[in-house]
This record gives sequence, C-alpha cells and structure tokens, in this order.
Amino acid sequence: MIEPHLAPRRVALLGPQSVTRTVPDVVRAFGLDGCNVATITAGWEERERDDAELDRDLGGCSRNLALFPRAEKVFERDKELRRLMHQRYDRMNEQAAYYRAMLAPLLASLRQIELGLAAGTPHLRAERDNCVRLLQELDAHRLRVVDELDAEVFERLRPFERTEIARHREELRRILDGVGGVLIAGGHVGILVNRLRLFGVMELIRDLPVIAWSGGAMVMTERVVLFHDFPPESRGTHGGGGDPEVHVRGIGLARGVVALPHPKKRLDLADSARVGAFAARFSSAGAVCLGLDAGARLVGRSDQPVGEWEESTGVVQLTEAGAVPWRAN
Amino acid sequence: MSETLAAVREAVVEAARRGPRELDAALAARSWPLAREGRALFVYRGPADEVKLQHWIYALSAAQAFERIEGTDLWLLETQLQRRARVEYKLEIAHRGHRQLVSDPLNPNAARDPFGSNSVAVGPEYKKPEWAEPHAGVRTGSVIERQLKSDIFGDVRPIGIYLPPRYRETRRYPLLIAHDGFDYLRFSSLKHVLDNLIERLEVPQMIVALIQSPNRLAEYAANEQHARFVVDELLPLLEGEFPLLEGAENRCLMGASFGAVASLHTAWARPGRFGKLFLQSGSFAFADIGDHGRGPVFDPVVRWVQEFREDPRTPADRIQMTCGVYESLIAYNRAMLPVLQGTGADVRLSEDQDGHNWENWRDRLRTGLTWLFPGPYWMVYE
Repeated sequence: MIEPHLAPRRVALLGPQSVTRTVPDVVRAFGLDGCNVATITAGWEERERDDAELDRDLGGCSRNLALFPRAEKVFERDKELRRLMHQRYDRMNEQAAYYRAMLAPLLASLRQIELGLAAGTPHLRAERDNCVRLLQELDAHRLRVVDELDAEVFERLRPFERTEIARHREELRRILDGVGGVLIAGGHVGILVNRLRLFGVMELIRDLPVIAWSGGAMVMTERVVLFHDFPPESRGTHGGGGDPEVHVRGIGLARGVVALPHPKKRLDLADSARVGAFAARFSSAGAVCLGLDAGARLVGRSDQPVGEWEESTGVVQLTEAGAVPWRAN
Repeated sequence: MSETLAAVREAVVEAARRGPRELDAALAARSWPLAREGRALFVYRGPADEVKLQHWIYALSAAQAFERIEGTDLWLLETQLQRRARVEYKLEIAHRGHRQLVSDPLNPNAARDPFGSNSVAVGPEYKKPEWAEPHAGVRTGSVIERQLKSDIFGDVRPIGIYLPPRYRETRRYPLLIAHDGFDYLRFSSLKHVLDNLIERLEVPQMIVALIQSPNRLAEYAANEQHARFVVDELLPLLEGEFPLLEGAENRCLMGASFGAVASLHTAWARPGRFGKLFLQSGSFAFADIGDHGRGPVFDPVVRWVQEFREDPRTPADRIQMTCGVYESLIAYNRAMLPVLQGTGADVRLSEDQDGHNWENWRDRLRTGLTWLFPGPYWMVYE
C-alpha cells in the first residue's frame, strides 16, 4: 500500500541505542522533552513494554503507543482480519522465495564480474553495469509486487473501518494529539512497518517530528533493505553471507537513502568489491547507502532528500570504491 | 603452562613405583585420558594380562595395546588424538583366560547412542558448544505432553510438544517432528539448543513434536505403518490443536540413525508433505552385491534404500545431513548425497570428527537447524 502524502516535518535517523544513547540529546535538540513525546517500540514485539530504560532516559513520562499488544488483541477478536493478514504473510513469503531464487544467480554473476574487474579486466565494466541494471529491475519488481499485494489486502481488509482497529485508532489519536514528537525504536522491521500501517499511525502523527533509530530508521526510508554478511549459516551466494534483499516499501519520511544499522557488525566493510556491488545496486536515482553505527546521527527535513539534510555525524557511506565517512551536502 | 605428556607419564610411573596410595593421588589429580597437542595418554590400573584400547573409528585398526609398567598394576598407552576429535572407545581387559570390554573406569565422559554407551576421548580443542547449555536470562520454552491413541499401532503414545518462549495462539509456527524426541531432549540438550537459538534469532520460534517409539528398530526401519502414523495420526493431532504455518516448507522431519531412515522414508512415502529433512547419521545401508552384513534388523532398511536409490523421487526440497567420519555409516551417507542432490533438492552433508552418538548429534544441531530454518536475525535490527 502506498502511503498517502506525508506532511513535511523534522526527522532524525540514529544508529543503535543499546550502547551509546543519543535519543535524549536529539529530543532536546528538537525542542521537545520526554513528557511530550510518544514512543513506538512495536519492533520489540512481546518485549514492547520492556521500555523502562528508554522511558527513564526520557524523564519517566513518555507515552508508549503499545502497537504490538494492541495488534495482538485485535487478532484475537477479529478472526477474519487475522486470516487475511496470515494470507498476506504467506503470499509475501511465496513471492520472496521466487525473488531470492532470481537474485542468487545475478548476485553470483556480479561477484564474478567484480573479481574480474579487481584483477584488471576493465572491459567487464559493461557486463557489470548490465548486471546491476538487472538487479535494480528485479528489486523494483519485488517492490511493485509487494505494493500490489498490500493494496489488494488492505482494500479487502479496510482496517480503519473495522470496529476493533477503529477503537484503537481513536485511543492512539487522543495520545498523539497530546504530544509534540514521536520516537520510533528498531527491532523486527517487518512487524514494525506492518503495525504502523495496520493502525494508520503515520496519518495520526500528522506533521509531528520523528526521531527513529536502527530498524526504526530503516522503516522511515522509502525501501527497507534486509542485509547481513555474517549470518550463522550460509544463506546466500556472496562468500557465505546473506543476499541483501528489498523487503517492503518504507514510510518514506527519509528520501534518497538506504539506511543500514550496525554496519560494522552486519556488513563486511573490508570487502570493497562486496561494498561496491551493494552501493551500485541500491544507489539508483541518486540514493545513498548509509551505515548507522552507535552514535551516528542524521537530521533534516522530510521534504528534502537525505543528501541535503542539515546534520550528519558518525555516518559511513557505502560507495562503489568501498566504505567512506559521509557528510551531507 | 600445562604439563607435557612425557612429564605426566614420568610422574605417574614414579608414583606407581612409590606405592598404591601415591599412584591413587597422581591419578586423581588429573583427568583421563589426558590430551595434549594431538596426542593422548590413556591409563588403566588393575590386574590384567593384557589391556587394549578398542576404538570405534571405522576403517582404522581398532586395537592398540597398553604397556604394563614393570612391577606395578599400571598400564599406559600414548597415542595420536586429533585436536577436535571425539573418539568412542572401550578397554579390552584380558585376565586369567577371560576377555571383556569395559568402559574406562578413570574417564567419566560417555558417548551415548541408541544401543548403549562408550567411553569417549576428546581432543584438547573440543568444547561442548555453549549454545547447548542453559544460560541465565534466556527465555525458555516449555514441553507439554499429549497422549496419542494410535489405531495404527494399537496403543497410546506420549507425544512431547515443545512450545517456544512467548508462544501465542494468534501466531503461527513452523513444525519440526523429532524421532526419538525424548532422547534428543535427554541426551542432546534439544530444549536448551532451541531456547538459545530462538533467543539469538538464529532460528524462528517453532513448535517441535517429540515422538518416541517403543520398538524403534522395527517401526523406524522404512516402515509404512510409521509413515501412516506420522501423517494420518500425528499431524492431525498437531494441526488440530496448535497454530501451525501451512505448507510443506514449514514441515520438517528429523532423526538420527534409524530415526533418519524413518524421516527420509516418511517424506518419500508421502511426497509433498514435508519440505525439509534433518538426517543425522542415517542408517542408509545398502548392498549392491552379497549380504549387507548388518543383521536382520537392517533387512527392511536395506531393501528400501535399494528401492530409494532406484527411484528417489523428490522427498523434500531442503535436506541437511550430518555424519561422523568415524562411523561405518559415513560411506552410506556419502553415497546418499548425490542421490538426494539428483532429485533437485538443496542438500548438504556435514562430516565431523565424531561417532554414532547423541553428543555428535547435539553438536550438529545448530548447523542443521539454522540452515533449515533461518531465523529472524535477518529481519531484526535493534
């Protein structure tokens, strides 16, 4: 489902908060205090309410929207909605299996071409460009299929007209009417984006500033790209790592960026060929691939692409030449 | 700095010559067999005319003689032991015309398999995986029990059901069915492994059905009754009570030894029902010429494996095999690998320095489960 127009507002994308907590500073920099922000921690799933630490950092009076338990209650009471959401999940997985099957040989080819280029065979450049183009087309197709599926399911679902969801939306509206900003934590990005859409949270947030970190930052971009170069078991074609894949369309408050939390932990930054292939594939239409480790910070307005945002600290960019420090223009 | 084997040998020989009490103290001060730098020192103490080490490494000479220390009842053997190996053995004691195989009285480590146990010698770099141990702070699942009245077998069977931490009926879960499931719990720490891998997001939350046969050598031996039991009696019970993800890709059978035969046979006999298989040390014996030499319990297995090799169909889409390189079954598992790959399935065989025992099967659980069921670490960015 394509998000409706999202009003311009200030946005911050931050790195993971478990070690270096920058959220309180950014809240203050946005002219907010902990008592007039709402938090969204649905990506933490069943641990959603384990937010005491976050709440303490915010002064002990933040308001958690509790989207995860709300959805669980809705699924318990509205069996038809649950069935349709399960159907959507099954079809997403089915499509993902085909997408991955098509990705694997293309990525294996790209890897071979990159190695050839590194070994000094420049005439492979045209092959590389063609391979990257095919990957970009495949990624775009994946996104279109998921959009169509979401549009179809949400059309049948009409979630906001359903009694249970409408009741929760009303509660959410009352909470959000009383706050000046929204904080969105990371976690399971599929669950997070789904719960935001199920309750139409972004529409309720209106033009409030948003501070999002880790998986929350991924969800605020236009494309949620899944990645992990060091999975416990080989699941991809690139040297045993996982094959990066487009999962779903993001909310779109941060444009022209692919957000990559934990780059040191999850990406093989020393493998410049791999980094370069990643950057070439996902840097279409001027987008930048930005790694957000602990302490990283990007601040700007949602009506400008991230490349024009006002502040960037501790951010690393994936380029075709490898990983380099990044500064907004 | 740890003692060298030569220094240890000298110390125990010296202690033995000083007297029984001194020798007791020297032996009690160390664990046996003592492994260092790719070698190990085995010790036996007691009356004997001859002592031999009988190890269970297939295709290698099994018997190695101990040396008696003159004037004492101390017997020593220094031999090669690979750094990460786990080798099963017993001591063969000959005394006054009698010979018997005994577990090493100085070694508390045992390797268990469905037929009994042996002493086990471990190389200096082998470590029990920490993901098989309980850890504080890790959320734990629960094992509940159901009684399944089986018309097929004419009895009532306990079925263990592992429910993952934070289990919810509004969610749906993939299903793993484990043959010898209660043995996997007891001897292979399956519950701790599941709890840890789920906590680390390396596998998804899943439901695991633990089945146990009172007559596994018959029921698991490529037995059509067992396939009917799993598909026509067990699955309906599970699907009726628990929220399971649909589709063969969310159904996995696992088992070790004859349990692996039962898993592969059931998937083969009921195509399209199980998309994943985890086959550990499968007893996939066959004999292209002559007798298979493994006794009558293997007859139905051998007959079926021959048939399977002729017509493997597509038993599942993804198959993880594991086998210890010290097992005689390694040859059969290697032979089965291209047969399974030829079906178009995605198949892996992990070969490891271990034998036919529950600890080997435990140590391979992470390899198999994370590959068959990649976890949500892919989706989680905290």
